[in-house]
Amino acid sequence: MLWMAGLTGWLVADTLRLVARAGAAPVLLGFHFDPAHGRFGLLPFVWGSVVVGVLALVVSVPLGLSWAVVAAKRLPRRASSAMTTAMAALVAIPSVVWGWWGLETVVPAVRGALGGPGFGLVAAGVTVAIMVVPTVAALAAASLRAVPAALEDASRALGADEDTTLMAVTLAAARPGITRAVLMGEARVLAETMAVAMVVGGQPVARLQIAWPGATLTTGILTHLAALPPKSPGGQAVAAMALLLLAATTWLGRHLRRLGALS
Amino acid sequence: MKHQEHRAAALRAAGLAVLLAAALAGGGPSGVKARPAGIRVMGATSLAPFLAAMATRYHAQHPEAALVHVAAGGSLAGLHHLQRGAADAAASDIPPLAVLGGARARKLSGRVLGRLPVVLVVHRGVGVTQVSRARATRLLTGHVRSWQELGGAAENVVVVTRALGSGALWVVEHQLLQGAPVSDRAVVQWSNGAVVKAVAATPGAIGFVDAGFVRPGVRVLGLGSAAYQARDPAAWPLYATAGLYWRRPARPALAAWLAFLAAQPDRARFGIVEEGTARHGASRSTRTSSPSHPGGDGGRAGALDGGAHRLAGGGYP
Repeated sequence: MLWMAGLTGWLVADTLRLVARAGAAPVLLGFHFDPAHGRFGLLPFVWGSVVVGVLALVVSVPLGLSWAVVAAKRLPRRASSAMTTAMAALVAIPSVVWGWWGLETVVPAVRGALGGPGFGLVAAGVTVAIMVVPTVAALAAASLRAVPAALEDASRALGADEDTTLMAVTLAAARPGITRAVLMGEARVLAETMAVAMVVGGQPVARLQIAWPGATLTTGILTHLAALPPKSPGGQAVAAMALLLLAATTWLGRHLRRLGALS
Repeated sequence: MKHQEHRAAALRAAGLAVLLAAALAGGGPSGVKARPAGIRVMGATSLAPFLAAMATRYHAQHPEAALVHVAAGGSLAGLHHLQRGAADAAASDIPPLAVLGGARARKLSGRVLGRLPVVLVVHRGVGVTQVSRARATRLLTGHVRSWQELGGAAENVVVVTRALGSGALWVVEHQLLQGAPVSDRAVVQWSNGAVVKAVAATPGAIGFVDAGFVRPGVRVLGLGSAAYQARDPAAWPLYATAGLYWRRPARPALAAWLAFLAAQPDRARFGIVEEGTARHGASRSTRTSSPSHPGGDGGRAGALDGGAHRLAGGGYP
């Protein structure tokens, strides 16, 4: 706890020094991050993280949830067990392998579909979305399996068919666990560095064309940590990125704890 | 009986304690001289293979000497680590003055290792093999959007660049683009190898790499009237001046390693062109006219062979 407080204090102090030196608006709302030319805008990294996070959510939730429903409620016991094992195996794949897969598969696909170089926020969003599908699916499947059979039996006894029971009873009862699964997946997306860095294109400019190269908070820290020394404005900007990332993950963590208590 | 067991256990514990103390103190058989503290070298990725090979050779020839630990990480990272005392020497293809500023850079000494030619590479399908410097500048800064504008294929131009801290990026921005930044739509890659891979895989792509990293799958673009030839790399006009830097005074172990390095002749095998082999004196003096690199004023050929000297003058752009 003390260590965490010390780290946060250090990050806050560095961020305040940067804001005092470069100004709040250019730092928080600047569209470019170019330390060599005195531009320290953090918006490109925040924008990149938001876009990748939303894309990952849009792709991974339907896929993960479908997989979970099939595994937990539709397949026979033996097939369901095999599917759960497959989920666990996919969760354990290192992110660098997913990044490699994204480089070889997603980047060319995005290039073909949307034009441009292929490297960009879309490629990063799709790559990490596929990466977290097993995580979302495994956690959601566990929640679905935990729904008491008596609830579903009661629904069927009242004349509801399987689909109605699934939508109105099973998914409703498992909602806290499913939300927790989605938030866990989102936390992994937000914190992911290597897989994103390999396909995102690394360009620290905020733009609406999300198929073009961009950057996220994690890739910004990774790229600039070694190149920008501590105590320099660039180093302070890296600290500010880390502070923003810490704030986002803390916020997600609080929600996860609350949901954990609920379920 | 119980007393004897206690005594044996106490003796074992004492023996272990003695061994542990000897290990912690670095003690060994009497008469064997302790190895000096290791030398930490960090910096340019492009120089890492050469320095790692030289470290291995040094250990083989001088087993009693300090171990040399080589880590890549980029020129900027190497210089910053050196300045903070986290490295004993920095390998850099960016002038220290451009990174550290005058006061800090003046505390360093440096030796030139040689030139690292930086070449423009393009996707094989762009349909252009030679560009003028002006056109290369317009391509890399994003002002030319299609290869058709240069008489090439109907492909959009995709610029692939390197991350901040890359020596190749510094060379391109300062020697070719005259301080202008590379296009803000460029794909940023971490390494020479990643640039080559991205250019080879992306139709319409153009990038730049250290010449030693060119691989099949990309085409080297001629620049002005020059065409890069691996047999005569010294004739190529775009290059970084690679150097090794350290804080004064160099401790004896580091000085010994530097002396060993100076005596090693086969830098060309690692893509490093020795300054003495450069044939274009005029172009060298203009392209490395910054006094921030040792030997960069054109007056010193093969500074590694000519010894160390202090850095002076210059400033960050």
